[in-house]
Amino acid sequence: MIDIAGIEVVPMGTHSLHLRLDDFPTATIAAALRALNLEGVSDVVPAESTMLVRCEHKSARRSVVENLNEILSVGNVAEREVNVEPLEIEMVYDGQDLEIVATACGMSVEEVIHRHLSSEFVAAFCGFAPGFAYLSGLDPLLHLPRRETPRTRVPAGSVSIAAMYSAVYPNPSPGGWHLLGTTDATLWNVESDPPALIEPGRRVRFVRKS
Amino acid sequence: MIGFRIVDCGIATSIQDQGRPGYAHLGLGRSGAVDLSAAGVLNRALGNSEAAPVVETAGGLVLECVSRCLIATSNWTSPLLVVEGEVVRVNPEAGRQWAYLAVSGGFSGAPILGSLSADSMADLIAVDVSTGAELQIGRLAVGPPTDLIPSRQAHMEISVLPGPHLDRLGSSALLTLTSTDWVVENNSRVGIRLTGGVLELPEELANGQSEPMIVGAVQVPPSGHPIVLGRDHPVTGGYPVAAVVDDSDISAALGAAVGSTLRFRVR
Repeated sequence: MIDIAGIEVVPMGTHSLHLRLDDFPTATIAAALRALNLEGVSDVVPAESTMLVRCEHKSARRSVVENLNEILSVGNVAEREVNVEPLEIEMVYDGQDLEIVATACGMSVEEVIHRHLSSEFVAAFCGFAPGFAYLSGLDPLLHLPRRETPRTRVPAGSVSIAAMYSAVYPNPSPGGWHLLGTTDATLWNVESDPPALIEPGRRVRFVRKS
Repeated sequence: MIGFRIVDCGIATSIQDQGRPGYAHLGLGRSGAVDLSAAGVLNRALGNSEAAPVVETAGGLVLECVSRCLIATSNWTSPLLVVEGEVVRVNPEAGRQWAYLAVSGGFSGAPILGSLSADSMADLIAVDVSTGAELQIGRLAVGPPTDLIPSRQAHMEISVLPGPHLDRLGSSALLTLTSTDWVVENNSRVGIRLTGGVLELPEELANGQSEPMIVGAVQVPPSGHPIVLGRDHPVTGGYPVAAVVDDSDISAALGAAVGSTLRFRVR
């Protein structure tokens, strides 16, 4: 185990590294490391509070460790977080679970909508499916466990919440989150570069479409 | 140039190359041939670049040659000339889950994000390989070998490195992991499930946070039956990782047929 600026760095597999970042913003650090385009580093993958740096050989691993110190310096990280306009996603609040969420949270449907609209989201990480971004920053009064029985099919463009996150389903898939509404936005398109609309670290706001 | 027509698409057949690195942070994994070293051996025999797209199948694949070409398959690894109308059957060797068909020049098509690999997790299919489809042959530049390809041993001993959560799995985890003959119960492109022993999962780890995953990670789900993540693994996962298969043994482990046994050795 290596300790860099209070962060625990352990090997994961032959050459890759697993980082426990705790209070550091994983998406921001991952983006900063990815931007360096280090030779032999093929993927930098943020998750909730950990991160994977996939290295193809030993010297790539060494250069990651050498560069981490600088990236982790607080000023550097904070600087990257400002000056980025939030992505606005237009949506309609026509979700099947609006009433259930309102009842479970002890508020009216309008208040659920208001609290979702005024939440300032940041894409913490992607996972589950290509282009599926876990958006943190959901109003704490809307935090609910997932549905007990997941739906076998959730339509593409469904705007949903579960636990401390909101997310948009990029493609039809099974899903256990609560559906608040729908958007026409294209979340995933392999013809685009990057193929995902929301990258980790991106600020996001939902806008009500009338 | 149309090289083959698919007479019977067989089981879990797809086109695979070395996959698409660089998109894991967007939720798209690398994918690529499960047994990269087997695919590399065949490409090399034909003078192709090791990254040339090949056909991967779990068996039962039948093709008819449309244009004469040189091929190599898991059943016949030396270059073989096939002519128009000739039928080629592709099945895994004994003890292996996956078989490959490589063609001189490589299979071709329109890449998705730089790769022809079908990704079963992300539902990406660049080249149709259903029954009746036709496969195009490309003109891939000849590439020099990049590294030695290790030979396959009949006895499957797999090198692993301690995983990031091994220390939290309890003191007996490492012993159980390395002293059990793990039986491959299930093998898909997403991963292989092992039985034959149980790795105890402490309760506080049962509902873990999502963490980034890597091919070859040995995950411990609540059942205690480990899962070795395959080429189409989800990019994040919530189960603790006891160990990670060493790069040199990933193809061997992931290609192990259902019913075969693996013994892990810490490198």
